[in-house]
Amino acid sequence: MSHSTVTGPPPVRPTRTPRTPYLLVGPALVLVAVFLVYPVGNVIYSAFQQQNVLTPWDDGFVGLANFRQILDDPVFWKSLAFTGKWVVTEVSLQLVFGVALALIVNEQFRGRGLARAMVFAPWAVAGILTTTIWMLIFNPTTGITRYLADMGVVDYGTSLLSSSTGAFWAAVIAEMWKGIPFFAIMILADLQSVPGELYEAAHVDGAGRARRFWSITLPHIKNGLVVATLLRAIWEFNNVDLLLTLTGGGPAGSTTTLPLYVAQTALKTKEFGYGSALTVVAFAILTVACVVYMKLTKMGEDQS
Amino acid sequence: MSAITAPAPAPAVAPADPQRPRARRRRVVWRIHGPLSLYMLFTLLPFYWMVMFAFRERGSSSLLPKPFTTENLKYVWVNGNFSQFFLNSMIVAVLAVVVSTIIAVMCGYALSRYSFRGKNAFQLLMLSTQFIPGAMMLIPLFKIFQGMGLMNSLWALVIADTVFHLPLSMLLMAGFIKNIPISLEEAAWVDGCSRFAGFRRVIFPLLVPGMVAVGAYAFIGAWNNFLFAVMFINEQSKFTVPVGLSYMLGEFGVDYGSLAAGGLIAVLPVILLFAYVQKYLVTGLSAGAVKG
Amino acid sequence: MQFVSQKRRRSIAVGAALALTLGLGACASADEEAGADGGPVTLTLWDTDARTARTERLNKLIEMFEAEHPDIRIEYVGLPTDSYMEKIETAIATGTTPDLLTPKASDLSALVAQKALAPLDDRMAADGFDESMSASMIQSAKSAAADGVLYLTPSSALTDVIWYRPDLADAAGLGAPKTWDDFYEAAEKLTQKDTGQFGYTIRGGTGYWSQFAGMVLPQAGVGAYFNEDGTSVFRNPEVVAAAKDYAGLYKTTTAQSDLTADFKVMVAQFAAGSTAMLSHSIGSYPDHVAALGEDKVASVVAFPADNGVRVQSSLVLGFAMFEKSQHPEESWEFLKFMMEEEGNSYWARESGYIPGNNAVATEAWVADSQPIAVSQQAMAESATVPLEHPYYLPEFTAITTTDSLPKWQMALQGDLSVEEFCAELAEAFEASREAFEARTTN
Repeated sequence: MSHSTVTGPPPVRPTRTPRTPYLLVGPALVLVAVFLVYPVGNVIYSAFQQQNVLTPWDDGFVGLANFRQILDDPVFWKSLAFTGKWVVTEVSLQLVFGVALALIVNEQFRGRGLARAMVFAPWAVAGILTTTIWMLIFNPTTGITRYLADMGVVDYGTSLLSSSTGAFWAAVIAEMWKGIPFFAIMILADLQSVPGELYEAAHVDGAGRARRFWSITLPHIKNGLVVATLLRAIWEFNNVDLLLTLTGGGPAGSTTTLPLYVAQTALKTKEFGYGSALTVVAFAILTVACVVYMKLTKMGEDQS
Repeated sequence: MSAITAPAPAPAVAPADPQRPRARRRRVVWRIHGPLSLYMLFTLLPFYWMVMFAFRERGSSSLLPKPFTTENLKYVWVNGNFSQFFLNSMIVAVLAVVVSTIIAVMCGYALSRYSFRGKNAFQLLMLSTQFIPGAMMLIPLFKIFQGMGLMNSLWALVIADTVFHLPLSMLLMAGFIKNIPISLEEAAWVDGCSRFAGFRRVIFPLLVPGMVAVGAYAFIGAWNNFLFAVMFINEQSKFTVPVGLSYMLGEFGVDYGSLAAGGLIAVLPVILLFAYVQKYLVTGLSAGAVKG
Repeated sequence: MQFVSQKRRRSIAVGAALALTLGLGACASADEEAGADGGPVTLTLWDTDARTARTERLNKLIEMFEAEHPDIRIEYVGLPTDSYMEKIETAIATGTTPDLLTPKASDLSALVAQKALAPLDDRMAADGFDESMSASMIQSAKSAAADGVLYLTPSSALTDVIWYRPDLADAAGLGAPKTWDDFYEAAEKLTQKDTGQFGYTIRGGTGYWSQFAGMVLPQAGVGAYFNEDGTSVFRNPEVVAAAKDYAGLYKTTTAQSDLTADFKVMVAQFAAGSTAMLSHSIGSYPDHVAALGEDKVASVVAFPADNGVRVQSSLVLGFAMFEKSQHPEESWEFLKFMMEEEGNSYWARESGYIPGNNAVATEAWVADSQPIAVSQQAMAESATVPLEHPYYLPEFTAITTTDSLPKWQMALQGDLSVEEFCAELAEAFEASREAFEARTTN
């Protein structure tokens, strides 16, 4: 207990046994190397090939042709732009509501345990089930609009999913349902570790609720926010399941993200080579974005 | 959000304040119960929709599960083979929990207690595992599992799920360990403990909530995975619940009742687990533990 | 703290041990398949549609088959309808295909291009199935493959029909629609937007093609995708006109939400009584009956066009065996069983399919089933021609799904004219056919 503060990140003990950290991360590294490096290499290899099981006679090395095709592909640019819109909307909404939710359920009130269990529950629901349930809700005959129409609020035979704007928000809502709990849980874990005496001290100093949030809570959960935001952004970028099953990228292609375009290209139209090239491009974009993000937020560096 | 009621003096962990109870209650409603109820409505509506379909007779359009029936549930559990799928999902999820928690603790400890060369590269590498859509890796992953003789084995699912969820588990765990003051460990070293013994006696007990959280994350990920389960398993008797769910959808018929009943079966264990686990998140790494 | 930690540690250790035993126990059966010699041969069947009722039917058939062939065991593996092709393709790429499959004619292109399936022509001829099975179904199955070879048993077929509500039609003073004009009139008259009833449900979303092609081409009286000179029929004025009529149904006699309606949405609308007519295959009959009752649903086939031709769209569903199967003879035994009277009758009757076996087709239940009866009647007419979908074109799936679906939705919304939509379809099909011809003539 002698030379360490209570709250700050612990000082790193330098080079006691330099091998230890490598031994500790070893198994993870081996797993990733075996189950990831080879598959990724495979995708990169395919990106330079024409590969389509429907036309095997045309398969072969094509050099950069796939990448040149990407530059001229209007769907690529359109889906890339939509991906940006999707990720930014989704992550910022989840961030705001997630932090708010975490703050609320961090308060003390009766039935808090039950309330937490309920509001966090969607996080645990399988992706395939999430979309199924929301499809039932957005369905014009089994869903909410039908009951609203019975009450005369909307016309019969309408659905959020059948207009571009509507489909976008329908997907955003369904994804938020699952994503907000994720954020809230991560933030709540951080909130728990804010030492109570800091609040007590601030309270004695006469700091208001807002002041306390900005000067105590926020700095304390900042690291957690940075990590959670990054993970969520990556996840939303790559998340194909929801859009694929809920909107199918439509109507008229208006909700197609880049990874969804990849899935459609590789799985449905069987253009595996082109799909791989799109994956490589998506991978590069994501990597650059992450490195920039990590630099900007100084994530992964030991700061005190 | 909190700013609205700025003068309210009760901080999260402070003792009850002596203000007049009615005014205080009104403020609590404003600050907590109001927004929480709204959010709860949003959260629970989809669950309600599922329950309604699961227990409602086919053809009914009532907003209540009327006429009430448990036929859907029975049909799915018995005829739909969900009892078997359920067991398989449980096996995969439990194994994934064990494997990922162990690896996550190891990595988390290394990342939070050591600085070593390649640490950032390692973190980026782990993060980049999330960059590639699972669907693009199916064929190569398939070949690997085939080469290892793990095809059609539930272990393939355990490994694939662990690999894909490791980065987050690892980062979560590193965060948990980081929040445990190193002074506690140092005290143990002073007492003559080895690094491992110090970890076992000091960190481990404090880390249980963290491990429960990471374990729950692994459980949920493995329980819910669909893509790997449908690709790597070639035997009906080894399929998992999400695969069973996908059976309910088809071009020549949709049975919403069975679908919802299957959904209920898929969701119950994770919800119950969650209701239990969130207690650990509550005790979590709260002030008491940090104060040592 | 010490006490707590020990207690928790113990429970975690117990959990881990439990997990290992469970896991090993469950995974041990992985090597079961080993002992192939001596004992019965085990065949693996991958089913492309694993809905519970169908799984039960197939398992019953497997039982019947195994009772007759004690030396053959069949292991059923159900695949989800949405992702079975990915699973099969991965298996082909890695050489891990099973023995048997239940494909549709529309699935064949990819499988044949990869030479994954075993040809059946010689076996069919040798065992006399050329005579005992429906000639038109054999023809249809053959033409779905680029090389004109039979890879799929003509065990059963589904025809496209128009489902309608006789009770609603009666109430509106309309009989069963008999002409295309009747159909459009009924769609209009049965639409009462204020009570939430629509005359028709148009498929604007995923899978739109089967409804689009199955309505537009018959209305134009065209039974193929290409004219004799090799141009696409989507350039023909009568086809474009029919496409305009059909797309014109959207929002005037259909729900606005139909823009993204897939099968699930359409069938739910019909079941809830909020739509009076629906185009789909006879395969959805059990669903309609379960939702509405037998007296509130009936079907009519596509009506004769102005040129007097009745075009009927249908899809052959059967069984196939993989080229790499270690047990081709045993696999063929099962395929035979599904074509012979006992198996074929049970399969078709229980599933509501049109049987491929000629003798089964004369059984009483066939005439008793309203949708099957009207389909068969129409097929027997001399003026009826089958709609030949060029499933053999490698680009068929791409053109009719991901490429044209967004355009179709634009056309429905009025952002793209139906003429342009048809012109784009024509170009895509012509390019695909040209490439195909160039390959096959060289």
